[in-house]
Amino acid sequence: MVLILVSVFFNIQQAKADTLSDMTSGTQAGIKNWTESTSPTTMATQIFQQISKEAENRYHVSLQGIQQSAESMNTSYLKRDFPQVMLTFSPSNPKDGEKVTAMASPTYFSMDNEQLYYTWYIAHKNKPADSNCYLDSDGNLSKDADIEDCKVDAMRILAQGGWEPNWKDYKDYKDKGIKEGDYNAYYNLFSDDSADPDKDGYNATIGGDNSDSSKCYIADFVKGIAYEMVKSKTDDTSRCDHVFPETSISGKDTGDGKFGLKEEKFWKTDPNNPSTAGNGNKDEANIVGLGQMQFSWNYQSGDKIGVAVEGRSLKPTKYDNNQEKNVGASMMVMWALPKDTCSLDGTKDTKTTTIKTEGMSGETTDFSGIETIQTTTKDINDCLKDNLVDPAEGGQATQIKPTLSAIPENPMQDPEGTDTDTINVQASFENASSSLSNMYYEWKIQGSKNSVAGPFTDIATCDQDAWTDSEKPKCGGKFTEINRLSGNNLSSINFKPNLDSTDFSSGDNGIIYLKVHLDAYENFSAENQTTRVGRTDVIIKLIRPSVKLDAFVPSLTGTNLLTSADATKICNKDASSEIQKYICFVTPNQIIGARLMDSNNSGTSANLNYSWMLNEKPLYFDPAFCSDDACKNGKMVYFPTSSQAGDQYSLTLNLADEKTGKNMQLSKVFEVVEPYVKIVQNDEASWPKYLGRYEDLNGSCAGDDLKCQEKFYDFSDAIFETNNGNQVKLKAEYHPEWIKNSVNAYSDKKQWVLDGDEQGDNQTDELSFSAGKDVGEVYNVEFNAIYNQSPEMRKALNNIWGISSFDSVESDLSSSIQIETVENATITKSNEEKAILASVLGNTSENIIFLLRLMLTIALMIFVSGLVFAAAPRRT
Amino acid sequence: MQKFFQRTKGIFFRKREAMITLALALVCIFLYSFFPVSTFAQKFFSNITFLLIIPALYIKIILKKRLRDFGWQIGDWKKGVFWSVFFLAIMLAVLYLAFNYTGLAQKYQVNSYAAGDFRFFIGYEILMVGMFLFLYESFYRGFVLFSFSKRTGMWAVLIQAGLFFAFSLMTNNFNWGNANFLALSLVSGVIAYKSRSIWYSLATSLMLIALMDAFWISLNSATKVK
Repeated sequence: MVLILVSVFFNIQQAKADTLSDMTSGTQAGIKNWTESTSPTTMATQIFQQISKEAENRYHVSLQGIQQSAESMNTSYLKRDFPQVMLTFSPSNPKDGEKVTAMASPTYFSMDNEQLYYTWYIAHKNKPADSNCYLDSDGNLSKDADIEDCKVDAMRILAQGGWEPNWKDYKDYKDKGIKEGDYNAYYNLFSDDSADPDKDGYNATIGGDNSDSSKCYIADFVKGIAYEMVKSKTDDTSRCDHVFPETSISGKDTGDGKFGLKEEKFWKTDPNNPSTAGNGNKDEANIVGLGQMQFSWNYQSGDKIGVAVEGRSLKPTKYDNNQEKNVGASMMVMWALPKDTCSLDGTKDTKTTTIKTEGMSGETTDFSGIETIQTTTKDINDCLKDNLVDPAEGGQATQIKPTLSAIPENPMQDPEGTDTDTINVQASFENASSSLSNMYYEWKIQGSKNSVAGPFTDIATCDQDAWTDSEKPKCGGKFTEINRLSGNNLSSINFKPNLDSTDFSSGDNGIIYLKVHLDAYENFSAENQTTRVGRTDVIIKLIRPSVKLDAFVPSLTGTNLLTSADATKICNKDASSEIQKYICFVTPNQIIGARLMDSNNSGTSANLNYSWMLNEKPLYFDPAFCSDDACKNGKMVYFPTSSQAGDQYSLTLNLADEKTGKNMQLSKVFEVVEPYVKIVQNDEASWPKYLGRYEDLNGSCAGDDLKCQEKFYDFSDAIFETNNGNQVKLKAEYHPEWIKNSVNAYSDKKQWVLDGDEQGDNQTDELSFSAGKDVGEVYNVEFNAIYNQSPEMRKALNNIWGISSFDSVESDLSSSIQIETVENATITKSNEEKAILASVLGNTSENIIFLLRLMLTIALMIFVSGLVFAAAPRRT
Repeated sequence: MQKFFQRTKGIFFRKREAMITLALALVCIFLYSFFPVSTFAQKFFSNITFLLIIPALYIKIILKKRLRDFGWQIGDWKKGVFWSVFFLAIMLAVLYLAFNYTGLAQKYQVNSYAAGDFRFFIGYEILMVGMFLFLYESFYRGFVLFSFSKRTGMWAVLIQAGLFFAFSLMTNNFNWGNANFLALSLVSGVIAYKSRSIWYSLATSLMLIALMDAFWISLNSATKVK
């Protein structure tokens, strides 16, 4: 001992010397500690550390790594992968009566999924008539319920596969007392109780089909320990029983390989068909759930379902295979449960077993040892009630997931109010079970002029009262063309912003971020009165530009040189027709120019980058054909229209503000129309003939009061009326309106014709004449003109775009009307007698008046004849 | 001038009945054409009024005469039948030639329904055509012809035919399509004048029109078959 100590000391000293001499790279602290330490234990530790360090350096092994590995190994045996099963449902949110399929996905079994036994069980919210399996008010299996009934309910569905006897196939079934649905009477037809004509028995082996294991375990997932099932605490003999549903038939175990008539009757399977469900399994194999990974049933609200999957696990037992050769002890037989829940409290114990195995040295002598095995007296059936799963995830409906999309992408509020975009926000849902029209919607619009991040505040008060009053502006007039903001079938809303300038951020091109928020509700389950809700919002950047897009028909400063000087404005913002406010009507084969104007109607803005698009294609114009600087800088473009009436052009100008970085999009729509002229009244002396009226059937106020029906009057375009003696004034109205200048400038024919007589050679658009014709007589009025472009412009069309001059010829404009002279129907209050007479005459039948007139004529003629006769006596 | 006035006045007072009758006839013809109507029924009543009722009232109230003096009688049936057959034969021959050798067949028109249905044809000819022929006969032959026949003799035939011609001209009906009626106005006048009754001329006119229509229908049917 002393020698050893001396030797050790010597070695230490030697090592110390070596270390001191070699440790040129050592830390000063290490040297200090080394030299100052006097405790042998400390020194021993230091030596071990030094040896370890040398080993690490030599073999690149980290001591910390070894430590961590060892720590993991300490508990790794508790981290074995016990069999598990995951349930998925299709559909994931079933409704009452809907066919639901539960899919079991087992893992950590050492055999194919088709070899496992799936024992399904189902519990309903309400107690079925023929079963004692139901849930209590908390959704747990009722204390009075029998889990075996739960299994029978499920496995019967699975084994039957929807089969039922074809009752009418049995001759004289009425005489035999067989009524439709009377299974007892049906099965009584098969008198031999022991018979199994269809040979549909299945002998189930422990641990799955053809398993060679027989040691059954229950896993404690919390502690990570598998407990062997034993008979009792006093009798630690291994116990291993299936969890197949038990029948009330004595001596007939499920999975015993015999499936006689009694069992067929109990399970209500076809005695003549070995696979009643038609899935390739024998009836008894279906009842033990062999390979039955799917289970389908008609869902009732509150249903819960579970499955116990029996099979051979990946975990080996501690038993000696040789010793237990005849009973199979290689792998644990275990049950996978959906929630991995099985409380083993109070059932745990241990037992020991002696094993024999070959020695590690390879010697022929066996090594014998004693193994300790954790045991439990727990029955797996007792765990089933804790592993029930609700297909609707605990009965709580998941949220529906709405998404909103808004168009246009870059909406704009025109300061003049004519080019303001109508914004459409459309909702769609990923997982709604109802159609969009059956859901309830609540929309809310807020605004922020700061940023996308808000804060958002209410910018308009959208009172519900306003929706019932057609006269009342909606949302305080800040949103027009808006429909209701709450109600059913409102999956989209439209609104046209009409915000104040103060609602926008200050400066040019003010911005407001509109946050459109949606709460959508879906009546998910009528029985449970479950409502699912989905909430989302979308933020829309609304710009109030200080610039606008101006369109015009250019003029020429020289051959093929287009200019905006003396241009003809073609978009009529003040037009009485709504459509003309939004669409610029142009004529076929016409050159159209477009430019950006600021609020003062002058050319603008040097800080903006321009990008022109025509019908979503880039639009460029060769500067060689224009004279304006704006055109040469790309801030003004020209394009020709087609010869096809009805064609539309969408001109878009994308602007990027170099200073602020704001992007903007301005657009205009042009539609090609054939020019025409129309004769209209120029004052009140003549008027279009009243043809009738249309009435809005819905009415504009509550109830069905006909007085509330909005009336739309129809007047003739071709027939006018006037009174005798009126000075009729008419004028020619051109469409598009701006062609008037071209007609005046280039037309050599503009002519009014009244009853076939040309009315002078004055080139005016107005006609005036005195209506001297009697009541009932008609004036025929006609107006003719020619619209054409200047020859220079037609040449420019040809030279710049190659449009043939044959395509830009003149257009004949002609319009005609008839003016009927009618009786003056004006009734004044001061002449009530005439009014009464007029009223009587007006309501008297036309035929009565005719007969009266005829009789008066007869009387007059006879009277006059007699008078003449009397006045001229015969001369004798 | 004074002599002319007195002479005219003398004529008027001497022939006041004829003058007033003539004036009334002209007014009736004018109103018959231009009295405002808006439906066929009104036109029908207008025709009856101006061609039948007013002349009848005038005869009864103003002239205080019997209607039989204006052709509403059997009259001389022998002459009536004779002249009817005579003119019917002549008219058929003439119209046959006109159909075949002139453009009359192309201008002539028959109600298309009557052309397709014999029962309708009979009803149409008797009721519709017969009604208007009766009005024409009672006015031109009855009222006008017999008003002037005592004073002017056979010239009355020309007077009533002249009025009809003038009326046709005035209403743009003086054409081939009405050639049969124009011819009948002369023929009927002679028959009525000779028989002192309007019934023979009415029967002659009705038969002639019906035969012409039937002939035209057969002619067109034959053409279609070809």
